[in-house]
Amino acid sequence: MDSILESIPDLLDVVDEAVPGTRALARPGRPAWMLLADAQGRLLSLEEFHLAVDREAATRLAADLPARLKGTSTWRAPAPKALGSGRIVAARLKGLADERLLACGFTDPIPEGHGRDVLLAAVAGGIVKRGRDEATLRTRIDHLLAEHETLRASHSLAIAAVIEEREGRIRAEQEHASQLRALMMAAADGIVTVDETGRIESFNATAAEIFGYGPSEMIGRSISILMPVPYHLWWHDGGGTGIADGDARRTTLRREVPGCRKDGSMFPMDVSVSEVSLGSRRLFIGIFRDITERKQAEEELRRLHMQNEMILNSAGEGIMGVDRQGTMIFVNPAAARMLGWDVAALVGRSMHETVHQTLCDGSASPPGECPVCRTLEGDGRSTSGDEVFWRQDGTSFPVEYTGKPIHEGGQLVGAVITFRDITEKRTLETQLRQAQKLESIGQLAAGIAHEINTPTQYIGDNVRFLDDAFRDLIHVLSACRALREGEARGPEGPAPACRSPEGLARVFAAMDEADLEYLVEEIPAAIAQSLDGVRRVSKIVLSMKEFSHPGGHEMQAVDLNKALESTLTVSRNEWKYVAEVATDLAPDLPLVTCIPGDCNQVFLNLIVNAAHAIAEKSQRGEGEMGKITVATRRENDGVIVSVADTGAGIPWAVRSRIFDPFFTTKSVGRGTGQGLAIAHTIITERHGGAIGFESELGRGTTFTVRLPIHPNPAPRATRE
Amino acid sequence: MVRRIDEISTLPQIALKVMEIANDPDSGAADLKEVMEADAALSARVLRNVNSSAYAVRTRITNLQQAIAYLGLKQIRNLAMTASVSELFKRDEQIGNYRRLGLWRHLVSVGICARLIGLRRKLPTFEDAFLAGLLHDIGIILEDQHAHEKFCTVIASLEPDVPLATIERRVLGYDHTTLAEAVAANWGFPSAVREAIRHHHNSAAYRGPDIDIVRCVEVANLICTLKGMSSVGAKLVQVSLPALQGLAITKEDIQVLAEDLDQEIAANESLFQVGTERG
Repeated sequence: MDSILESIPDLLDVVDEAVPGTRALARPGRPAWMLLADAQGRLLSLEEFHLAVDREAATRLAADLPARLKGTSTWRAPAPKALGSGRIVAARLKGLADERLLACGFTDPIPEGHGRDVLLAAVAGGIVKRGRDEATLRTRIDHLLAEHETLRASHSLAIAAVIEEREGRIRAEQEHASQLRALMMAAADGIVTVDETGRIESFNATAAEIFGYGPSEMIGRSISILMPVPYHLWWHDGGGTGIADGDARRTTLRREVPGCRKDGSMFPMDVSVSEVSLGSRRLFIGIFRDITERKQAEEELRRLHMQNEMILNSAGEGIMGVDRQGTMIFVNPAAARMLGWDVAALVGRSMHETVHQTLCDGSASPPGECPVCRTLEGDGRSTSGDEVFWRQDGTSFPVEYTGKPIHEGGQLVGAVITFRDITEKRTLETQLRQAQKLESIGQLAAGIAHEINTPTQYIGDNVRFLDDAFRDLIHVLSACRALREGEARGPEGPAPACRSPEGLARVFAAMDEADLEYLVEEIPAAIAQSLDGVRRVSKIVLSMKEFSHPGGHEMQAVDLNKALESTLTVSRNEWKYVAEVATDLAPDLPLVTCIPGDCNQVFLNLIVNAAHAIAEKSQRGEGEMGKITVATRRENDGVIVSVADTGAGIPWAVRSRIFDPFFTTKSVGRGTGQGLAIAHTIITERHGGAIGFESELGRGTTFTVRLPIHPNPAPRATRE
Repeated sequence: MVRRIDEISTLPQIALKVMEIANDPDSGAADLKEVMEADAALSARVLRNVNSSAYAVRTRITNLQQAIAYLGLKQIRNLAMTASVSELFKRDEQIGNYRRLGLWRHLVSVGICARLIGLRRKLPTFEDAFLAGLLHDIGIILEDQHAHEKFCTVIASLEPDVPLATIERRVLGYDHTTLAEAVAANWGFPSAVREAIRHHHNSAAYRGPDIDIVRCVEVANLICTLKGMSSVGAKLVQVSLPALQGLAITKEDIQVLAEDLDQEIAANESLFQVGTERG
């Protein structure tokens, strides 16, 4: 409709062209009525002129018209007020050159009589001038009125169509709006719309529920009642940066803010805000969700996570998680510290390549044989106490670790490796072993001193006897020498005593005094006994040497029989008062690859224990000598060493504990409780052998050590 | 000839589409605009018509949307159809008293006159009356184009006292009303147009809802022929009393209409232009 109104020719232009000077009469702000007629006096239009011509001019024009119509008596100038309802809204004038009225549209009908008369008069004026007859004139008037009416009806129809269309559009919009409203009300999230000043315009049921307000309580109030200061300010954050009409823009994607209920209680909520521009107006749409439960769940999860983290972080043991490919996906700080890496740098690296690529002896550790890697092949739990891990700086440290596969839904997804740096443990162990060895030697020292003392004593006695005997012999020899000197001087010299029978007698007397026969008999015996004593001392010293420093800590082929003999020798003083020792050593015993020092230690522990066991029994009054039987024999690819005693036997109660460190039944000062524990470690861990015992109370105990001839796999070197 | 109707595709495709849209109650201004925009020359000519003195548009209308809003769907349809149909008359030719441009002038005049009669007889469908008038003798140009030689015979055989249709039937075996009606049905013209084509020489034979339009066209045909704007140059026209009576048209009415038609035709001079070339 607007376009039609706009397209109406400016009447004033038309009139001014037709009736020169009309425009000059126009006085803005002075409404006037005006009749328009063409030069022939034909009516063109009947207008209420708003801005145009003053009333006087209109009246003059109106008054002038009848004169132009040359006596047509039907025309009477209408009183301007009487035409007040004839307000033109649309008129379509032809150019004045066509000199005719095409159509007139009136919102209100032309008052009956006036308009008709005017038209009649106007048209009649034109026709009369042309001299046409009355019947044609009336027909023409009828035609013009009919045409006018038809066009107006058509026009009304068009308007009605436009109105109908507009109403249809409005209806559709309303329907759309109510659909949106229904959608909004039904939404599971709280929806609140807010104007630019932060006033709440509308909200849905969920929003009312979340915030605890009644159906219309929130309308018109500030959004700050829902979001305490300063959070509500962010409604204005987005600013008005030109978004197109109807476009929506998310100013703030999402935020978690505290919400405030009507009763003042606070709760965490999740808010997302969209900004919508509607014409010149901005509208904010906030979508709220009460996330109390989610928050609690998150908090709980966070707490659990913290707890786990704390446990993992504060664990003294290194903990590494690896995935199926052996890539580290988790490393706790202790592990990183031990390995000398940053946690972040370790994650993502191959576990094996990074920390376990080389064995302690410097040879490469093939992943296939790596027990950690085998964990990932589903071998189940694996542990080892004799591995090294490598630090970032290329140094290594001994570890004890446990690898445990992780299954998820029946699928192997990785493994957790827990490990400890056992350097300190190793050091302690070494120190303990050394202490125990020192203890053994200390214990043996008294016995050995005694063993050495005995031959030393009789060697001393013999030497003193030889000293006496030699002095006696000197006397005899002096007498003999004097006799010989007298003989040599002869007749010239006096020296009758020597040459004389008296000289001989003195020799004989000295010989008698020296008891030569005794000396001849005893001196060789004393010498033989002394030499034997020296041999015995040498043997003890040699045995001690062999026992204490038998070739370092390297594996070597050892004659166990010889080792056992040495051990028996140095420990003689421990057992000789309580037991006899019998040996049953296999003559064809093969050399056994082992660490001799360690093995001697074990044998000594067993022999001393045997002696102690017998001594214990003896002290209880069964004072006969016991017997210790040391035997060796070959068995398949190993060698069995057994030490049997006829002692008291091991009480049932302690049998399971005798290999435990620091466990001892001996009185304070007689044992540290380390002997058998160390023996167990040496035999099983270092040599891959076995140690066991059989015991019968009151009858004795037999310890059996089995050592492989060729330890396989090659045992690791010990660190001491 | 009638059997070959399917092959007759004289009317430009665009005209058929415009017709279809304008007669579809579910279509609107947007559809019409879309169809017409496909033919820039057509659109330009329609805009030129809209901006002519006949419509006294103060602000120049520069696009179809404005034009449709200003004049309405049916007027724009009429302008589009006029422009399209004018394509058929691009090559002027004269056969005896028959000139193609004469026929064109006859068609547009009858259209304008039929509309004028409709307006003054208060027919709400006065715009349809224009279309019916514009197309009522389309059969003649079809004969001219598709059966040219026989058509020449028809023209040559014209006698002052014998109606054209009679001679057509004699020469061709059919006449322009039956031919055009069949073609118009094929083209999907609205019924009022088809009935006007079929019965514009004899509205008394027609009983139906479109009777007023048929009568308007018959009377318009009469007036135009009397004023010398005939279809094939012949002056013969039978006055149909039932039509005049049906529309309550008196002798004075005819006189007034005939007089006013001159002004109307003058105002609509741009409609008579042939072809859609930009000019």
